[in-house]
Amino acid sequence: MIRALLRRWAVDPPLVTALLLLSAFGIAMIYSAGVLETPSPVTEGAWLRQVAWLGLALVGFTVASRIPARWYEWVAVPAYVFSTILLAATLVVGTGAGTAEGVESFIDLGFIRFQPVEIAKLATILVLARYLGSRAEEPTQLRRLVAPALLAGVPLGLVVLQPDLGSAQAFIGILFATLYWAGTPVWLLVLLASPGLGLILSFDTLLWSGYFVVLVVYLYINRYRLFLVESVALVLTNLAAGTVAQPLWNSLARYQQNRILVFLDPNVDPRGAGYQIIQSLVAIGSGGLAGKGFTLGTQKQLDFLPEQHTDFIFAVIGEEWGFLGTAVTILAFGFVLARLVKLSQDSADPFAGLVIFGIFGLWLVHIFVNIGMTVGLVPITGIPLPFLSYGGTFLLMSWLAAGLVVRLGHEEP
Amino acid sequence: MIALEKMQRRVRFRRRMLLGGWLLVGLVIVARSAQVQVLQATEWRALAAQQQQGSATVVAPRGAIVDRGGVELALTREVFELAVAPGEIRPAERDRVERAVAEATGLSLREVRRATRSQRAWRVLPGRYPPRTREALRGLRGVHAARELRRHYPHRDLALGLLGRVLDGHGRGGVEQAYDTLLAGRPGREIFARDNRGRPIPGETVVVEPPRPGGTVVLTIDRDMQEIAQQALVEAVEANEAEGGDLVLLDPHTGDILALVSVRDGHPGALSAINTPYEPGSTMKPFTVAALLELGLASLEDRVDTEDGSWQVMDRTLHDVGEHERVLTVAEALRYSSNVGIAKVAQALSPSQQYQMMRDFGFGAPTGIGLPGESSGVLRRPDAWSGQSGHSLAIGYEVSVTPLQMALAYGALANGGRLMAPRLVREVRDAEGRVVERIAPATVRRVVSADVARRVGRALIDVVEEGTGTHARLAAYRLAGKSGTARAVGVDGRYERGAYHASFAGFFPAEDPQLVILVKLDRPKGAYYGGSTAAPVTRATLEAILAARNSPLDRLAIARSARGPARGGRDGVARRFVRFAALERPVPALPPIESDPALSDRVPVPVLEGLSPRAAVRRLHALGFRVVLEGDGEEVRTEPAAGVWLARGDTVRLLTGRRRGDG
Repeated sequence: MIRALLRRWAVDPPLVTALLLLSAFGIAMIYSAGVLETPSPVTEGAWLRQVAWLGLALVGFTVASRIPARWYEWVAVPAYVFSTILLAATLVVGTGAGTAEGVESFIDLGFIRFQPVEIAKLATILVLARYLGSRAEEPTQLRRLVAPALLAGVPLGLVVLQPDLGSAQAFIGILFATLYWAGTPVWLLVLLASPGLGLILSFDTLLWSGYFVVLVVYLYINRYRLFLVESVALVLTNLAAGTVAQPLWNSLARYQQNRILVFLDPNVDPRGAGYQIIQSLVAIGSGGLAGKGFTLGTQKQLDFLPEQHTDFIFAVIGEEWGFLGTAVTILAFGFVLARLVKLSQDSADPFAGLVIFGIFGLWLVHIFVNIGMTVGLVPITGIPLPFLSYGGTFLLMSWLAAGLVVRLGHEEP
Repeated sequence: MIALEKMQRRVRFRRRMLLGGWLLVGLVIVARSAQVQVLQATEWRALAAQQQQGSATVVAPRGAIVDRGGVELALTREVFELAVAPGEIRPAERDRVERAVAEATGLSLREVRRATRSQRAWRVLPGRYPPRTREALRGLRGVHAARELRRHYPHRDLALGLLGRVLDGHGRGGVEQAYDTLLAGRPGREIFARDNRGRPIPGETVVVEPPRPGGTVVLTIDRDMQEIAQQALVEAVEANEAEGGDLVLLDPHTGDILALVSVRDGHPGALSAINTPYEPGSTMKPFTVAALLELGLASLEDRVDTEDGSWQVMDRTLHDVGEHERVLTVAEALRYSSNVGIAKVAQALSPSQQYQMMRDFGFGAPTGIGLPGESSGVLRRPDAWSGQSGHSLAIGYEVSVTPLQMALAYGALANGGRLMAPRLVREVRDAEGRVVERIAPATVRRVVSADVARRVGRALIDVVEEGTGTHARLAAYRLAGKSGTARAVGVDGRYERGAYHASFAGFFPAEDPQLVILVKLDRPKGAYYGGSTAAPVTRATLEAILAARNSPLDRLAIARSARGPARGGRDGVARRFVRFAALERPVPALPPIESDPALSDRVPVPVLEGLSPRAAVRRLHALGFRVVLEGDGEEVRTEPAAGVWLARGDTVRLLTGRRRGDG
């Protein structure tokens, strides 16, 4: 009876069970992050606030999972426009908050404070899914990618201006995931990404020159698969990327430059930007195979670990539960993502499949970049871990996304 | 249909590719985790342990400086400052913490709560607490203790110049500086668990290397004598409006410095007895005579024509002060301090003989007392002398000496002609009380024969009994000594008009010397002659020392030297005075002198009303009491009260308060 009710509520019991377990584990770890030798008002009661937010998030999930897909299709464009306006508004009236004081990504309404970027992520997924799902043919030409790229590019540009590089990566993940799922050939995606690639490689002139030659040769060989305009545009944007790289680098804030530099070598600035990487690695590494035990992480207790209840919650997991804990967490995320792919594939409706896959792309970027930065695989960008990190808006939006997933994944056409 | 199948196939392919890619991403992260957590775990753990550990040096408690009898002159106390970090106290434990703190510190609960319930992150509790309070609060969350080592001088400015002081953990001046390494000990090291802000975690401190406490330095100084000397000198400097003065007391047989005090600007913090040389004047004359006797160039009975006190020699006229016959014996020339007589007989000495003898008495060379900044004085070699130098040196000019050098030279005369090295430190003990080093008395050299020394000594008795030093004369004992008055040199290197150094040097009792004394006053106003300024200080000091029960003098030897009954009538008077004082109010008078300390072991505390604190201290010392001075007012009161019979050597607390009505 209860089981049947639960099944009816959850719609997709395997996925929702996994997400509930992750959320509960997240709250436990947020509680643990507050167990410090010298208690701090910021982290001490955080777990209770997260419990309250989870309650709200589950209500959101329930509602989201009961709304028909057509409604979502219908709301996609207004939601996108509205969230873009909000994002633009943060540039004017945005406030920083808590640990992300430097990034003015919050809008404070007095009674509530939220991050428009979280709404914008979902809205962008919806609008991309609607655009790409409504096309009769798959986008096999570069110029067909221009419109989706612009749709993702507008909010991306706005968050870069905030400047929130972590969320910017999320929009890139959403764009490429939906394009991929819409059937865009991989080589086209690579070409689309080429200006960005060129940007990164331009830090070494020789490397960039080599890359540029390869690009031009490739374009020449495939000259019949692309329009001349497209090829010229690609060459020009790559050239542009190569030339703006230096001024762009200079326009970055000092701490952003350092974050990239210390990724290459944390010891460049062990007390500053490299500090977080080193401390995260010390915490995770000292956890060893089996960990130090729940709430017993000493690096965390002694306040060495930065942002321990938000962006670096995975480091607390690593310290207290060891490799076993991190492996199980990664497996759980792997299961969730695999489930999304399955639901996406099974959905008969292109819009539904694209939305689910867009969410897949969003979560994949969050999970990979967040865990990757705590273990020193990618540069540190302020990006939270879904369902585990402390943060109300993010938890609510994640569960809303889950509601969308189960609704769209199970709706009969 | 074909198109659909093709599409489905493509979708399947895409999904596989995707899953493969996703699996790869997952594997990379898991592999990285495994690398960090399994393969490198040991390194990261070591780094974590290193971060969580702070280390600090633990300052060792500084050793004590004690007098020859073990009385502490300088010691270090360990105290703790307690502070509360209200944010670190767990709310559930707050009551318990507050009560524990209140109980251990003796503060009221309200005072404690003012700290524990403060909005501030850190509140220091008032006061300083002993180690046991700190122990009682050890491990209490939110309560922090900071250790402080305080150098304490129980006798305040007693022997201030000699002891020096400690600044920033290092000895500055005097014994504190000279024995700094030994007194300081060696700091230890402790490790504690700490958090990211460097705050130690309570209860997790481990001392890995205990500090080695400093050793104890045992001085030859006698606390009581030092006190007597210091008070007598301060008073004399004040009374004569002198700019300063020095007083040295030493044991001629061992070279032990029993008391050494220098006063400058009314303050006993100077060390001029060691580091500031002066021209001694007439106190040098006995050494000129000793040299003549030793070399057989003259005898005490040889006669010399003093030219009626004015002798022209080498474009210069020497003058005598005071009336005496024209023809004097050498002994009489000494007694009347005839400049002409001594300078004339000294002509028998060749420059090298004169120079050699003065060097042998220790002038012009550092004594090796081992205190920072010792001066060797100036004694020029004969090749730098002028034609007048021989005459000048014979009467104590053209040479500068430190008071300590002069005292030691008199010590040689008192010690049968053997010059002793000064001894300030008897022994050094480690923190456990084991003697690490014992310093034996050391003879520097024999300067003159015992016979010459005795003969010069006898001549010096006459100086005190009948000559210029009569102000130093004691009722019961004979003192040998010589006064000196030399013109002071100003800042420009020329003699200053009307400015003199007045000094008296001597030993006591003359027949069997136990004590060498040197008193010097700088630029006294009024009667500036050493005989009328420095000599009375000598007498006052010696009388007080004689009266003090615990001075390290050989009582038997002193008793043997007492004058016969014919001249010793005053003993009886003194004894009667003491009895009288017990019954009624005594009139303030000179301190009585005890020739036989065994005679009256118990005396009453005298009535001191109306006396200045300093005079009161002298009275109490004279009666053989130890004195602890408290307060800084003018009206004196004793504990126990006047009239209470105490054993000599007992401590009397002298409480000085402000006179009522002074506002």
